[in-house]
Amino acid sequence: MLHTLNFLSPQIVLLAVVTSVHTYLGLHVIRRGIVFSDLALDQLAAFGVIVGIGIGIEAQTTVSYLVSFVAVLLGSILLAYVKPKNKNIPHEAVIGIIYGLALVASIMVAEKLSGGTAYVKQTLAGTMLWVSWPLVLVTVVVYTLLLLFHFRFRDRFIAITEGKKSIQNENGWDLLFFISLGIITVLIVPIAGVLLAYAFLMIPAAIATLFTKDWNQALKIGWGIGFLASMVGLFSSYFFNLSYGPTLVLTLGLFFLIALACRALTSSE
Amino acid sequence: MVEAISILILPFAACVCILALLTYLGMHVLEREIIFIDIALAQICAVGATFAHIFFGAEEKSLAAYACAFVLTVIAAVFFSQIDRRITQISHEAVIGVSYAIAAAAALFILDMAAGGDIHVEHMLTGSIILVRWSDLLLVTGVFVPVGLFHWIFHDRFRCLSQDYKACRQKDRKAVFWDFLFYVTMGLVITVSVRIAGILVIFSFLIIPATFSALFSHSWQNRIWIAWGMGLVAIIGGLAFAYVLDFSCGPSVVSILGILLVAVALFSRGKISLKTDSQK
Amino acid sequence: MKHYRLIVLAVMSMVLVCVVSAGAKITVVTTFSDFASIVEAIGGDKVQVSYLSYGDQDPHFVSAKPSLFLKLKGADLLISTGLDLEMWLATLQDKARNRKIMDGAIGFVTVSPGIDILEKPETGSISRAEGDVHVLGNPHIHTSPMNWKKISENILIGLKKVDPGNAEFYETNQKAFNDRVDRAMFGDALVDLFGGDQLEALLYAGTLFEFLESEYEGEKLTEKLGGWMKAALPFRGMEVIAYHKNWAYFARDFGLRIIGFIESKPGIPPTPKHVENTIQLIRESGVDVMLVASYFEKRKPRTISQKTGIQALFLPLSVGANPEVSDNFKLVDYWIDQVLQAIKSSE
Repeated sequence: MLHTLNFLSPQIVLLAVVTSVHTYLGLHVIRRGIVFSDLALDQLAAFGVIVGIGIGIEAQTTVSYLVSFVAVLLGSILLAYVKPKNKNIPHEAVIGIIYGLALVASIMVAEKLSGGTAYVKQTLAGTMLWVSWPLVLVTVVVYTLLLLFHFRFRDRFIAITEGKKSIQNENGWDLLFFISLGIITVLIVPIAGVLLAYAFLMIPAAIATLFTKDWNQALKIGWGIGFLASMVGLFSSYFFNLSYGPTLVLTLGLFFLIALACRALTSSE
Repeated sequence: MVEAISILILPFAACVCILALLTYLGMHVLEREIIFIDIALAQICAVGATFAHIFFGAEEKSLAAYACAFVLTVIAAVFFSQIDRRITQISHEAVIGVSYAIAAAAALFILDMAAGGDIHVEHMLTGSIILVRWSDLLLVTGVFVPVGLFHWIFHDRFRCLSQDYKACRQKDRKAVFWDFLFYVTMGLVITVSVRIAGILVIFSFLIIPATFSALFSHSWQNRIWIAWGMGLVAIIGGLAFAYVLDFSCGPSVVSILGILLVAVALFSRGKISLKTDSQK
Repeated sequence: MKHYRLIVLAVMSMVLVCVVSAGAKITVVTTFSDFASIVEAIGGDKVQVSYLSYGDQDPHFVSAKPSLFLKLKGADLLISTGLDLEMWLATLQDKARNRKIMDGAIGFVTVSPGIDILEKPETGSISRAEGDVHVLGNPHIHTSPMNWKKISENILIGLKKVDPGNAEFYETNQKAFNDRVDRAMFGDALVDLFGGDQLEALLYAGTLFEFLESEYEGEKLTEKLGGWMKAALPFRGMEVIAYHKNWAYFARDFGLRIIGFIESKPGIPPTPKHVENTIQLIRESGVDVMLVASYFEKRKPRTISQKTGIQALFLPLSVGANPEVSDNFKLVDYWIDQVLQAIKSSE
């Protein structure tokens, strides 16, 4: 048992840190209603990784992260500025198209790499089983810095998201928010894959928001359930010999469905 | 040249069939703003088929696989409509987005249990259009023609529902039932075509030609012809691209659809905003 | 008078057709580059060879692209392993609709008949869920040079069927090829004395080295050992880990003992428990080297290296995976060389 814990310890630490930051940013994402945009950005990060591999840059190196970040940045700009005035084209369509084209671009580039199809699947399912301590430490450090930054300025960020007060230099803080989102996307997608990254961002925050509007409570519920669900997923995958990434998403999903059911049943009274 | 045609003729026919009906349904999708629901449904449909394939040993394109996929799709559609009514604390977009991710993970999970996961994932996303056979084409037309006719006959009713559901509901008490029929037909169409063309291709044919046509006109009549035209150009271009540069057919067609849309959108940005400005 | 000219014309055109068709090459398509290389050795300038799966691609899964169909449509002869390794081939054959190379036609040849297949599974329930279990045994036969001889025999049969006119030419080349393989394997001296077939028989009976202990002309036969067998002596008996079951035949020929796999079920990504168990195994056994076919993605083997100190040796599985390994002989040279280097650096 000790053995197992030792083997799984990098994952446990990573999951604890990731769920905390993602829950917090996820709360912002849900309240701002940019749910699908985030999926598009995750896929763009994956596209960046594959393009990197295509030009000879291995995944999870500094340059690879930079390439991903550029892709995510471009995507953010597109998402922010492409707002068709045409009433026949909803904004959701634009986001959907960006997501779809990012995915197809990833596939096209992967086709010309040797071992191509494996890359597409990997960017979707992630390779969390294969993280090593150095990578975990880097991620923890960056995430902690981000967390501290956001804690220090949380009032401003929350105010913009809630849209209640007006803040000095709102656009600047808005940009910082998107950059934070971009940073975690770029860091986590190569490890966890598009689907798990998205699940971490959305599910704990969504579960929390189903039950409370208060930020502090939401954070606690979100992080608690998120971490719990991740642990259940981690150990299920280990003991039942299931593939790791998808199992995590499914356990998070299961908790989400249960939460939905609870909410739906209690509110129809 | 002869060889190219013999390899690509069936894929071409399949793409054209899919284009014909999906473009039209895509206009409804844009109108109703259910874009991500469709990609989620397509993904859930794929999970159903994958499940049947791995757990019941159903052959890839057998009736069992299609039935499983369809049933799951309908259940999902019902689920989404229930959520719409009962959950108010979070937007239903959030639910849809999460459902999509969960469905995709479920598919990967199931595929990881058997060998060749990577190729199956590729097929799930991009289909295997180049391998289309006569029997597939027959099935697709067999489903699409009735559905197409159905929608043609009742076009006005469906259009009314898509454009303004509430108003329609007031006028016609059976509106709920027709709405349900809309989703059932969508489900059928998606189920049958996703197996051949893959989620990404279906999604692209649904959204991109319809979006493209919206850049040029507001009338449904005009839009459908523009969308069909653009789609046809993309299919021919995409297949040629795949053939010459040796890519898979599905992603190539999607790439051309995307390039055409982006190119025209960029080019007409000036025109469109001028138009709306002058209309003010 | 008129008829005379017609006859001359007819005869001349017939001669022309004969000349042209005699010069026409046979178009051969193989599934893997290793077989293509052997076909070139036997067919020389009378064949035009291409292959479907590239040297650095996963041989189990090949996605259908237009170029593959083009190749198949023009083929006179299609060559594959035949042990359900190329599960993807049937759909391609179907779609290509080339009668000459369909199952059962003379233009479709599998190269595995006659080879001693390793790892035949016990009977029982076998499904894809068991992880791509090759129902008929380990199909990665080309990793053993001795297998090339049988492969070339089967290729020869195919070539003679589709191009009987050049049968003698192919036979000569095939004999020369097999001879070259024996010499590359055992060295000229021993082959001249005993013949390649006998040496091969001894190797597989497990008695080769015992036999080489005997003396001849005043020195032990072991002194006369050359070629790859000699080069590989330093790692004979060594334990290794293999990422996937690609290396069974190589291990058999050169005496490596494969004690574990990362992909426990070939084709299915490894589960956490299995990875942990393998890491344990590596630590306990002190194995230094892990053989990984180069088509696998590098992060996973590297993570194992990091955690255990084992060396991940990325080897091209097939000819043409990188420019150095342009034919089968160079491929084996490369493998042996790399393993030797790996051993040296772990000392």
